[in-house]
Amino acid sequence: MAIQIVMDRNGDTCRHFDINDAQSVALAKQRFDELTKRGYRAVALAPNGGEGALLEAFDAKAERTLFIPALKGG
Amino acid sequence: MAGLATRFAGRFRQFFGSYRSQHASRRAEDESWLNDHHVSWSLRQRFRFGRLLFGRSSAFNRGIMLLLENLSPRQRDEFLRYGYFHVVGGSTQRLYRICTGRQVNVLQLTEKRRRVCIWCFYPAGNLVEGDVMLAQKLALELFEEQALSVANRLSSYCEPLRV
Repeated sequence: MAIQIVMDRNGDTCRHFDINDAQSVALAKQRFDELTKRGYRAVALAPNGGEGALLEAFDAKAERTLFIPALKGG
Repeated sequence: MAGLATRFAGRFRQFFGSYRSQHASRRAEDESWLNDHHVSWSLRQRFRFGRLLFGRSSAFNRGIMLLLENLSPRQRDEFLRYGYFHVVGGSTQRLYRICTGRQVNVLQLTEKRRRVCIWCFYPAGNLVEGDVMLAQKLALELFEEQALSVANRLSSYCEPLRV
């Protein structure tokens, strides 16, 4: 089961999806597209704090995808 | 009036006593974890406060746990001991120190760990500290130039806002 983690005011919201289920993958892709349109950056997280990767397109093989809201200056 | 106060005190004691006994084992587990990892005092107090008010799954605690899961072992050790950790910029290989906080908490350092300046940037959406720090770490590692292009640069003479 892959997981999409979205940063929000509650800490984070997790959405699991089954990579073997086409409908689940399609829903995950839709979520990915919606969030990236709103300015979120998608990062494929590596285990144990290893080097992650920025995702420009939906990747169902990424085990954990973190969505970071748009950055702004303070 | 005195009777009402006594009844209220009794109810409160009853509720608090049952709350304490229900969550005693979880608290012991958390305390043991905090002790094993030599968590700094300020972070430990925040963790306890969040747990007391909002339960184990408070937003602050969730943010910290997400951050800890995604730090390298060295970064995790630094953060738990000192409340900050170091990150190397993905594009420029510069050294940054991310302190606990939401804003004005990213220091740019030289190789000898002397301050160059302070960068202020954070993700939109009023996120908790753990999420902000994780977003800052990933931004510096994966899209450093774009992150710094929106950041405000402050003099090294300013102090970072540490929580």
